[in-house]
Amino acid sequence: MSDQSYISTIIQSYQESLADYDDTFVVGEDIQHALMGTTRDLVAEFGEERVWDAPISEQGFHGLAIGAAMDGKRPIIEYQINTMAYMAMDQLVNNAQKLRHMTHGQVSIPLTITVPQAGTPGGSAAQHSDNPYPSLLNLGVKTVVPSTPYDQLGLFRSAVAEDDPVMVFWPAPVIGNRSEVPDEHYTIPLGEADVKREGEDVTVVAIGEKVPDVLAVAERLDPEISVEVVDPRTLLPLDEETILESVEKTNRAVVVDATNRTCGTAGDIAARISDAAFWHLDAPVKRVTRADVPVSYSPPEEEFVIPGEDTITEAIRDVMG
Amino acid sequence: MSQDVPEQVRSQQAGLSDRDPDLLRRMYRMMREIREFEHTASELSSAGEIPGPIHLYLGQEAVATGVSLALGDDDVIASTHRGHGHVLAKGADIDGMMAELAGKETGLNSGRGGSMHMVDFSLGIFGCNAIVGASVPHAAGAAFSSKLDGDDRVSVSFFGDGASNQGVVHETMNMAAIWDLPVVFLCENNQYGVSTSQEDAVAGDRISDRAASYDMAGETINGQNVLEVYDTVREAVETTRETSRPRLVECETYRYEGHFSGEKDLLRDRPYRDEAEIERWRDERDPIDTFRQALVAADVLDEETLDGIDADVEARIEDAAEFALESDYPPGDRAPEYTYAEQSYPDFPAEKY
Repeated sequence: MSDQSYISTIIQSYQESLADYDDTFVVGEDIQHALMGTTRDLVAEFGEERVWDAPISEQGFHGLAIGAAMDGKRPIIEYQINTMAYMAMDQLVNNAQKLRHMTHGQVSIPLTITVPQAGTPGGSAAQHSDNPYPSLLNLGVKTVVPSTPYDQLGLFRSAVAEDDPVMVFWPAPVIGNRSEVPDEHYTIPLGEADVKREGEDVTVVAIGEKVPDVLAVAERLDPEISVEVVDPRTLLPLDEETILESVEKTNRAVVVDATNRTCGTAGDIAARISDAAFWHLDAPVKRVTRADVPVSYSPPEEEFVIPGEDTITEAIRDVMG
Repeated sequence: MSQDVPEQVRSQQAGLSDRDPDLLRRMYRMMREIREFEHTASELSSAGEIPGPIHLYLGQEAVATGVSLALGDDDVIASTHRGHGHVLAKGADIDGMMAELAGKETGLNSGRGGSMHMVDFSLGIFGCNAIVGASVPHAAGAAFSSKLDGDDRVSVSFFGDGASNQGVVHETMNMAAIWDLPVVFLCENNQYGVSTSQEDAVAGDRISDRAASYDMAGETINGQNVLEVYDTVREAVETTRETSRPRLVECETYRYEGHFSGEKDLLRDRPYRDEAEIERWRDERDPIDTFRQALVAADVLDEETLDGIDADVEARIEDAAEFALESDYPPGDRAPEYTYAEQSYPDFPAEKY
């Protein structure tokens, strides 16, 4: 075990991927100089033929990576900011995600797309403060949102081995965090949730950047309320079983996610719980989400929109009745 | 030669000397196959045997034929929503194509893709694509892959005058130029993007002029003359193969039918082009008729031989239609298959209720 920073596990992930897979290359904007620190030393170690600085042409280099994947390559795209998915939406969902199905399995698109600065980096205003996963989940794109360095490393290894497109969201608010990481090789399969904290009274499903906030709230409420914290880690495929098992034990549920409320991820998970565990519930499932408004630049407004510990506490108290 | 012989016949006839007769025969047969395939597809569509809209390639046969014959087996093409001709010319199984149009299990994509998505990766056919311009970066991606592998394959990216205005096409041309990718951008300017004339949609005189912006060679040729297409593209492909520099070739061509099979009903009382224009292209520049006349006039192939090819092609396409009609539909509950590489994930496929 060693105490490792989240970003160091990202660097390690890239190095491992380029070393382990001959057909892998990384493409993105400003990655040779490692603008975000994530691709540090990659050019020195693997050369420019494995690490490509693309022009500002998101649709173009997504499409190019897809074409290379059709030809047997295993590309990795790195974003510099969360909303780049919108620029590349056609290539992501109309092409990468659908090609295996449309061709009746004739082709694999083993494409990994990483999103440093996912969520709310703070002071980035509306166009740089999103978690675009609800819309991508709706269209069937495999998605992981690791909340700790340990999860990041284990999930990345699985994501890059997948023969389908996978989005890896690295939430900006947790990217400076540290955790214990085993020295020996390990993987975390996609579709396995993690119970981050055991409890008896209420299940809080927390996604990505909200996991540390929920854990902090749980500590504060203990022993008055015993909170179980479930981190799905992978949003598609979603480990519904672990969530439902927890809810059947605690009989209460809150879902916390920093994306918009309408058609958001929290709404979907809440609906699944209500549908499958209704007779176990002692209270309606509550959602804690962003307000349905863009994220403002000004700190008080940003704080108003993004759900914080006070809102999470309020929701937990509400389901406890 | 009489005065009423169209210029196109005359120019093709002049280009026939010293040609390999077998190549000329293959050109004629391939164009006839595409045309017959499209006529039959159109009939099947009208008869309700094809579930969705189809985008016919009628009138543009010389482009697919000339390009395809200029390529090697290992070379890659990426196609458009109007891709039947490209796919057929690159060697795809004709039965499988027709069955694919009919949505049958025996289709090229097992009925999953239909008219706008036919692929055969084993033949270097990296897909038709229903999104205008979307396959252009895929061709460049295959070229990128070739570059990484250090092999000598070339990719040809088919796109139309409509797609020439898509951002992704320009982004891809720029990347191909800065990264020295062996890709030939092959623009089929068939004069209309759905109902909008290219004259109203494309800035500048010629689409090929845009190549200069990306530091690549560009030229505009007569896409109705199969010899001109073949010669130009062969040279472009071989130069690209040697230099790994991208190029742009614009073929002036014309589609006889509407943008898609349902268009006639939609636009019956408000046509966007007049019949006289269509007739003028048909009468003076039809790629097959003019080529046939040139072949006969130059004594390369006689009428009887050509009629024999026609009859053979008709029988072949008729067989394909029969195969398509007799093939089974896939079972509906097959729908989730091949959504993901591993289908054993929890909660997949999510239930409808």
